[in-house]
Amino acid sequence: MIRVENLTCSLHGKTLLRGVSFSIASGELVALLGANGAGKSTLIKHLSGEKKPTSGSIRLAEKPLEHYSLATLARCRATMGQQHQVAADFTVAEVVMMGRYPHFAGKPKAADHLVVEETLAVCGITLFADRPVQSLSGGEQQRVHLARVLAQVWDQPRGVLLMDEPVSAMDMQYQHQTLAILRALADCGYTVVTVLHDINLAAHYAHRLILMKNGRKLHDGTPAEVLNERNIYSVFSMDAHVLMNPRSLKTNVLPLGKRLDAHEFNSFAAISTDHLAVIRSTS
Amino acid sequence: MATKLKIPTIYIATTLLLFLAAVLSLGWGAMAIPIGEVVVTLLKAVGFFRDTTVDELSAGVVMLVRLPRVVMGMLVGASLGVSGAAIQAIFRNPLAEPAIIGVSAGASFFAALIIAVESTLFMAIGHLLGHYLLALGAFAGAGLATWLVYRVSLVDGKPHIGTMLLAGIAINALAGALTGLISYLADEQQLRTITFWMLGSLGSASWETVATLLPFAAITVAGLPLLSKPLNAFALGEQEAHLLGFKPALVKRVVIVLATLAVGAAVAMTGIIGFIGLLVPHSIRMLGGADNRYVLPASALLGALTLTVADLLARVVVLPAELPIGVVTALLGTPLFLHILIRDKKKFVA
Repeated sequence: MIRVENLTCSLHGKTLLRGVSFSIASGELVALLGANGAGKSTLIKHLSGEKKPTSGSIRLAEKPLEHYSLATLARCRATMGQQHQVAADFTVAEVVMMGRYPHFAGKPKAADHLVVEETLAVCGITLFADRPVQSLSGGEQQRVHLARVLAQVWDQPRGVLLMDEPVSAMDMQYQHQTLAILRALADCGYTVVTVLHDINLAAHYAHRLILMKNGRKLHDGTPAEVLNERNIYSVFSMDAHVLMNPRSLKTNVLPLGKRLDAHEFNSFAAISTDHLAVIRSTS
Repeated sequence: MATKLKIPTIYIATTLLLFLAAVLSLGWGAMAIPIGEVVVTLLKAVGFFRDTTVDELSAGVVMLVRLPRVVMGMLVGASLGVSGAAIQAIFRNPLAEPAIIGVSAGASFFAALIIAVESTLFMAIGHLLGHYLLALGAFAGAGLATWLVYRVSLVDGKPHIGTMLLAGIAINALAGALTGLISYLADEQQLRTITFWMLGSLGSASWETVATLLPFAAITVAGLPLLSKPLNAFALGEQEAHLLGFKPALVKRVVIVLATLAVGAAVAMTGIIGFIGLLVPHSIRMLGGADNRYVLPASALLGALTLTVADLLARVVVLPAELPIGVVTALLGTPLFLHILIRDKKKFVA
């Protein structure tokens, strides 16, 4: 479980997180939602230990995060970042095996090979196992890194998974597959935190949503509690319709869309285009 | 990936070829010695065939002239190969090589400096000491240049790779300019010495130089492969390596120190030998994949093989003279590398 108290982060005179507090129990899947630059990734980086808080505390299983050694942390906590670029010509199976590095010295054991096999299968990339990662499409590469991150804690039922936009490049099937895997792991006892941009995906799979804006936690609760027109407008500045799906009994959010008039959208460009049209038609 | 060879096959083939090249090198040269005699001499040296007699002169040539030279070539080649592979891994860039952190340029500058002032200042000390002074100076130059590059690259006390690349380019340019200045001021004889030194040669090999180089080469060739797991993780990015429980700053420091020790010592003994640090790890990856648990030791082996073969050719092609080995490594290796590149390039574009 994770307990965050009054977490604040300032970098180069900018405050990225302002007094964020929450706790997440084992067995919970929590989605972090919020506008671009709201501090979601910064929060994930603090939870993973990549960044040190300016003030406030983070505890993992009631022990302060800074008391963990890098190696211990790597065995019980896996993090999926946003950017993935494999530098050399590694194959899919080799990259997924890197997720097992914290668990063996020297050569991988039978258990490590089994974990790799299982995570490849669950991410639907068994067929690509021997192909170079660089030859795959963006969404497929993301599934490779998902498999690698899952492999890191696959055999640690009290493990922590921190995911920063894990499905940003995936197709619909694998977006749902990924969230279903994360939900299943949470139901096994894992603590899962994931940044998502698709509100409906989050509402469908997460136990709890945390909505952030300008480095603050604005709303925190089950999808049914948190998702209403007012909250969505306060976080995303978007009008939306919120309803209960009568078939799935899940909360659905239907954005009402945006409409920009030409003069509002970019008056100078619009006007100059108009002028050009006038000049062309008269000459 | 059907074109990739099985990794044990690569190890076995390289090792066998290395032995073959070594034995050939011992027999071939200005004084041709039959292979059988070479083998008997070697076995005598390790305690077999005590009763068999061999020609003393050829035994002397094998044991005192050619064997140290072959061993030296293997040590230098292995150092360059393994260091190149590790440097490419920490820079996450296949175009990196040991020279990028300033090792060669620093060594060249100091070597040129010593060659230029030696004739006037050190004539009295004698030629032998002069030679050691050259090696020592080159080693110091290699260390100093790398230390400068490393210092400049520190951001918040940790080496930053992008900065290190730029600092390396700057220090390389500075050392290159200073070397150029010395070459400009040097007289004809000095210029010739400087040029030959920069093209590299194993001609100075003796058991003493081998013994001097051995600890530097051994610690690097044995040490760098221990880092193959963190170096693999580097391919995912430094942050990812950190999240997998490795310490990127520590790994970078160790790689730079080990590479500088081995390459600096090798360059000090033999002059600049290009090509191996860059292309040997590449060839190894094209043959058997990118896993550093295989790439690092295999690059050491192939580096040793390449340099042994190159030195053999350098000695026998223009008998009784000798070609500079840097010329041979490039002439020999580039077509081979281009061949693999052209054969496999679709794989990289795809």
